Amino acid sequence: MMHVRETDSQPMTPLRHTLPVAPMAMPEQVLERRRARPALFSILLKRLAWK
Amino acid sequence: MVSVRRVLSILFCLLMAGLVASLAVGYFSADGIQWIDAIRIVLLAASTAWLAWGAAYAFNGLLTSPISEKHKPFELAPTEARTAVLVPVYNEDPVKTFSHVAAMIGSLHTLGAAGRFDFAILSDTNDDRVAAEEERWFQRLLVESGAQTAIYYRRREKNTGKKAGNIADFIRSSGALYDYMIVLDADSLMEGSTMAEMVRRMDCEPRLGLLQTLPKIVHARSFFGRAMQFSTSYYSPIYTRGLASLQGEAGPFWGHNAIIRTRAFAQSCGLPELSGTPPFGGHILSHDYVEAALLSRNGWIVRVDPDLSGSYEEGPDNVVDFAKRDRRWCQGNLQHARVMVAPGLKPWSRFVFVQNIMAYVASPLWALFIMASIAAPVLKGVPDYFPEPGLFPVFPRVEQGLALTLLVGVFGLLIGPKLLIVLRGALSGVNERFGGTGRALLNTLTEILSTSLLAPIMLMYQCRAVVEVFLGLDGGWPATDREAGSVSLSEAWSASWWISATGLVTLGLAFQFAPEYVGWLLLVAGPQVFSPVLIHLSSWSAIEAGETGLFQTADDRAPSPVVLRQEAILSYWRGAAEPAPANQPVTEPALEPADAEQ
Repeated sequence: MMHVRETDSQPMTPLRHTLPVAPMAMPEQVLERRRARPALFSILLKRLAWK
Repeated sequence: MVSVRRVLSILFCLLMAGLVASLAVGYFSADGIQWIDAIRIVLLAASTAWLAWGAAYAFNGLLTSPISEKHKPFELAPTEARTAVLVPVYNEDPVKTFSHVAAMIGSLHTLGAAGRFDFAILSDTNDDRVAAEEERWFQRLLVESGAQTAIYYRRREKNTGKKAGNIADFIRSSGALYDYMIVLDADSLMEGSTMAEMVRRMDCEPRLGLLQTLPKIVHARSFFGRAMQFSTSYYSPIYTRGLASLQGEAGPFWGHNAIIRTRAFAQSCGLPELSGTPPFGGHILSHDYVEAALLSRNGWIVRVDPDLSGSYEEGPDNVVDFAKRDRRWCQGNLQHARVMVAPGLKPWSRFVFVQNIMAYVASPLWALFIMASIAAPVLKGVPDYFPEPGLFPVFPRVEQGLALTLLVGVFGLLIGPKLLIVLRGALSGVNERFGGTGRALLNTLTEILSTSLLAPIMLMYQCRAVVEVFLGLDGGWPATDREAGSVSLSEAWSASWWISATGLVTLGLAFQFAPEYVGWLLLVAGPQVFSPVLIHLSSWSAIEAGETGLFQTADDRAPSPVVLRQEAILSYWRGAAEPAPANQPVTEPALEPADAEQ
């Protein structure tokens, strides 16, 4: 008995059509300014504590 | 030239605000001017400036649009670029979404450009039943769309960052393969020729980071939806041309139906979570405008080209669904208050964020103006008929003429540009595509009337949205139901009883404390009282009326091939047409009527 196997007869699954792997870096952007006041406050505190 | 236009437009707004303020001073000072009048004048001037800004877009568009435009016939230009067409989905109907994808692939196939584009369906669906349907229909899409175009499907377990996170996830995993990405929505449709032309324009300008098209609404069925469809088809090209003329290289991104240079986007648009909790902190909701600003910050051009036709989307078909979408947009736009101070942004980008905030804050400003006007007679007390020094009594003047001028001026800013667009359409011949000048004018007047009736209702929905955001209530991320049908009277009642109640209370207070304003307030409170009826009636099907010419658009008269193709595929997939033999591509039998139209 002869079996004929078609070359493209595999059932299509999402696995066959998963996204190709080609990574690209996407760095997070700076949107918020650093709060100056708490930083200044903590610096002053540290200096006062040291003295 | 852009700077001159910007300065003139801002001056125009200030002038209009100043004129209205001076008229208001004349009217409100009839019985003496007090602090409450000053508040009213400031609120009215701010609201007028906002209306004038909308009119300035139209005037710029009218002045910069050539009366006779000659479109070059499309030619497929050679390119080495690879483009990914991204279709982010979130619990939408897969049959419908995939019919859009199949139609676009078919359109590219007809053009001979199918091999240049890969389609990626990026699912954030968290409903397992919908996800199972997506996978099932994806198989069918694969089988029926031919082998020339690669189609991918990916579903995220967690929809971190929502749509912006979905796109970023694609870039981080597969972005290096593609020069450009065409970002769509689940309901987007684009002609193959439009996509190919966008690629050509990106190839021609290496600094172009993002090119936005003006999507027109299709498939609207209700009276409300068809009015919006008419607006986007008839007025929007002029308004968008005005927008383009003012924005220069710092243009807009509306989140879909745009092409993006992948490298530029990856370099510039990685969005962080904002510190704090929603609604002002957390993920950025209205990410598109932020991304446009960040591209500009890095020196990339962001542009909208209103001449790019063949770009479509669908819109909500009733007021309730429109208000739901607006709630989401409101939260996103108010969040821009956090982003507008980001370091390094161009001043114009910051100004765009102010406009986005103003788009929602304008409604509470109008509401406050109305409340202040009702409260004014109480707060001002009994007029002093015998001021010292003086021998004769002084009676308050009733300046109805000034009030009428004020009303005409404010409405003129809303209506004037639309009437000028009809006039321009008559001169340019555009009206012929809308059924002639008479039909275009009639539809414009009908649209103005329906907008005037629904605007006070939308004002209340926007006021509620703004208050909710300021109270810290997060609106979440509900999927838009673009195929929702008509709204029953009981549904309309449950969605808007509070608007009726507010309208009645407003009128009651006006009768009691400010009877001279009752006539004016009827324009606002009247539609509010009848909001359930108006919401119900406006959601009725207007397809039959459309066939007689109501809100007729150019696309009604000559539908776009890709729209016809999508309709044919959808009806074929939903079983309305004869089923085709298995494995037969949808580019063949189901599309004969669509192809014949081409």
